[in-house]
Amino acid sequence: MKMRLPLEIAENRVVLNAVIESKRLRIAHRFARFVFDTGSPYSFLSEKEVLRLQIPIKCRVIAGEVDFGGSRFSRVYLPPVTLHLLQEDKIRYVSFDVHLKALKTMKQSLEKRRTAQSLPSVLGMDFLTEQKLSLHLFSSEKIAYLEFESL
Amino acid sequence: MDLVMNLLRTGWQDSLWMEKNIVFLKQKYDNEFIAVHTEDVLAHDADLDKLLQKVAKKGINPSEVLVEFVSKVPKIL
Repeated sequence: MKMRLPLEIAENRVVLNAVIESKRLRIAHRFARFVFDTGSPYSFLSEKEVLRLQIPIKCRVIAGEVDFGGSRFSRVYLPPVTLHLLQEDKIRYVSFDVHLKALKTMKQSLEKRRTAQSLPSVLGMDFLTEQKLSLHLFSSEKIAYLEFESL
Repeated sequence: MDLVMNLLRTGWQDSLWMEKNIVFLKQKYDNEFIAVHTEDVLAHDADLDKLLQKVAKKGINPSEVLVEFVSKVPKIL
């Protein structure tokens, strides 16, 4: 049986609204938004979300660097997080364990830091592949959803 | 109601409210971060750290609000 998970189209971007949870990161249940970017091989939490969710990343291992939105960031390893997503019937939700990395800007000047912090969290191709999800978008109808095979 | 369902519903409402009012929000808070809570702008500032401090001063944990950067310049991502 196929199940659908509704997505939002905001400012002509495909947005996934979720509740994020991680005991190891001490994130109780918190609402979070992610922009879908099928041009990105990776998924990550933006610096804005790292600050908002008060995730300590100073002592965590750096996975390397990445250029994103005109800024260079360090990619920081995080333990897996759980994302809870609303189902199509809007009375149930489904949960996924997801591997995300956190972004930390390498910029020092106030203006460049602000530009880097304005970028959203992103779900890339790795999320769709690992979770075996298909992404459906009907842009002219402003309809978008994820679909997966439920057991 | 289940905590996760409650957060999903209120979060979706705030997100949809923001999209519905995005033109107004861009006019009023151009190049600022805004904190949205229960379909209203709780605080705004051009500096993200200061915005989170303003939210905390109002007695709300910053992790419980939706934070977005709004600008008249179109977003690519």
